[in-house]
Amino acid sequence: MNWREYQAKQRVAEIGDRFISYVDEGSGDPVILLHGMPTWGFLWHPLFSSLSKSHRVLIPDLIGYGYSDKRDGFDRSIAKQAEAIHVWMEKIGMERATFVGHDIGGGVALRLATLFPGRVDRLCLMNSVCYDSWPVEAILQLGHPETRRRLSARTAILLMKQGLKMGFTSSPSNDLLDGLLIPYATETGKLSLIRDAVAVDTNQTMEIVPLLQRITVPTLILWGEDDRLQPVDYGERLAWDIPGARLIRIEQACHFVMIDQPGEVERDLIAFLGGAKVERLAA
Amino acid sequence: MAIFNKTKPIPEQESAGETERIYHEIRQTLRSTGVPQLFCSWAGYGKFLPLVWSALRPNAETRLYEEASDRLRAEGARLIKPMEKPDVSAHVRLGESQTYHLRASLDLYHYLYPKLLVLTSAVQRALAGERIGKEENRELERIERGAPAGMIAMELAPEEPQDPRLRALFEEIKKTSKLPSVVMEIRTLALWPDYLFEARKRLMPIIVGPEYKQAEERLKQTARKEAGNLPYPVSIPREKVKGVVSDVGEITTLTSDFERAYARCILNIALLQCDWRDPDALASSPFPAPSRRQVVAAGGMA
Repeated sequence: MNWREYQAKQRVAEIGDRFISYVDEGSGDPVILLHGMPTWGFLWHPLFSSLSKSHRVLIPDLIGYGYSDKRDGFDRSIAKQAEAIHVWMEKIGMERATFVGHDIGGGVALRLATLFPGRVDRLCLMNSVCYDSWPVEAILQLGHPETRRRLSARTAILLMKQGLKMGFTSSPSNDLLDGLLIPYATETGKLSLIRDAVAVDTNQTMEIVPLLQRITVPTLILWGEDDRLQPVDYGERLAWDIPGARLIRIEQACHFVMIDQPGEVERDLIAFLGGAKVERLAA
Repeated sequence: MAIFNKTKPIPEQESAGETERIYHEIRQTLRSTGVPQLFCSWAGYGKFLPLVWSALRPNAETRLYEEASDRLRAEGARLIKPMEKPDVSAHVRLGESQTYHLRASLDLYHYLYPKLLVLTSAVQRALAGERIGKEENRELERIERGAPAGMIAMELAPEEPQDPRLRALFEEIKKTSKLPSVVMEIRTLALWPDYLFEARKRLMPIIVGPEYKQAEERLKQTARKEAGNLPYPVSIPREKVKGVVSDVGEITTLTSDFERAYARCILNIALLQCDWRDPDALASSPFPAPSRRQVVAAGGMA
């Protein structure tokens, strides 16, 4: 599936003055997949077909990302993203779901699990931001207001493409990298991503640390071992702080674990969604 | 006379200093999520932008100007009624989100282009030495600043796209329009290339028809009339223009080319919107303007 085919599947829900584009396919227990930065829902396309055979799969683009609202003039922090997802679920008539979050999408999922626990059935975190694991240097630089003036969209995309490659142990194709970055290839897209980068805030993961021990839903932590952006040590901390959570280290996988080891991630995730005991997965 | 490439427009993202400040004022005053290409082109002529914007600004924030633009939009909607409709969306496969973005972008330009045509006509007449606008002394109602809540971000494909089909199309459009850059709505529609090419194919037979030509002329005339009735004078003395640009004729030609382009844009946008809306509904503004709130707190002002 290329990015245009994926985009053609997206629907829209208006939440107040904003709108969220999302994919909604399959039937069964709902699973919501949350992407990170600087990607969009297209990130999940390797898992999309298999998951939607047994589950209702929903993949929203976070506000300010992908093909959701990219106007310049609203807060894109993970706190606001969690609130937006909460309102979006209400809008589409969904009470609870399993959340799978990657990178900042994992931070959003953590905030939902701690602050909107009624929304979360199960939780799966993949190379997620947490504690003070973020923001990484490149995102801090991207978020500098001067970046808008210094970098054209074309140059910014070239740099991000180079940076993105560091998140893989595999060799991602040009088409895949282009597809992951395509919403940010215009000046409007670039500016939106800069505003997204401005919104990264360690305090928003640190403030929920005391609440992690109150998470009661089954939690699986899948972590690409070779990730230098979000080291696996943070996955270990999460597994220690969230009651009953289990960490599975994925070998030969970096930050984009679902692309580096799609088979393994798919197998573990489907087993988790199927209700298998988390302990068994690690065996 | 083809004038493209003589002066490079200054895109929003490349603006700095006074130009950047004026761009902010333009977005806020015209209630837009982006700076229209007309101003980016004028900015290419250095001090001409501050000169022309200071002449336009008093009118641009009034209710009377908004209403003049509303009348122009309504006239455009009326004029396209008897024309054949392009029915583009029936021939292109787009998903729900893609259609949402497309429709929202057409709404943005449906709102903006009549406003731009009134301003362009005012400048064109003022440059020709005509007396434009009235001498209102009373306090006039002003409209709220800033882009309306539901207005989509103004998103444009790059001026030099990587897709060779788009690049060739942009070159062709620049030559025929004589403008220094491709009109904004084309660059926005280029985000959905299949839609853009189908729209071009289906609009072309309509555009060459006599009804369209008459409508285009009629819109220009109405815009000129509306410009003449603006509440405040639009004064752009030729001597002052000469002081800031080397060739006044170049500015006049550029402005005239935009005037023609915007009349067409209003009609094209209305025709494309007929895929989803009744032409009668197109007469209304997609973003009715609230009045600017009076701040009555102690020491405050409007």
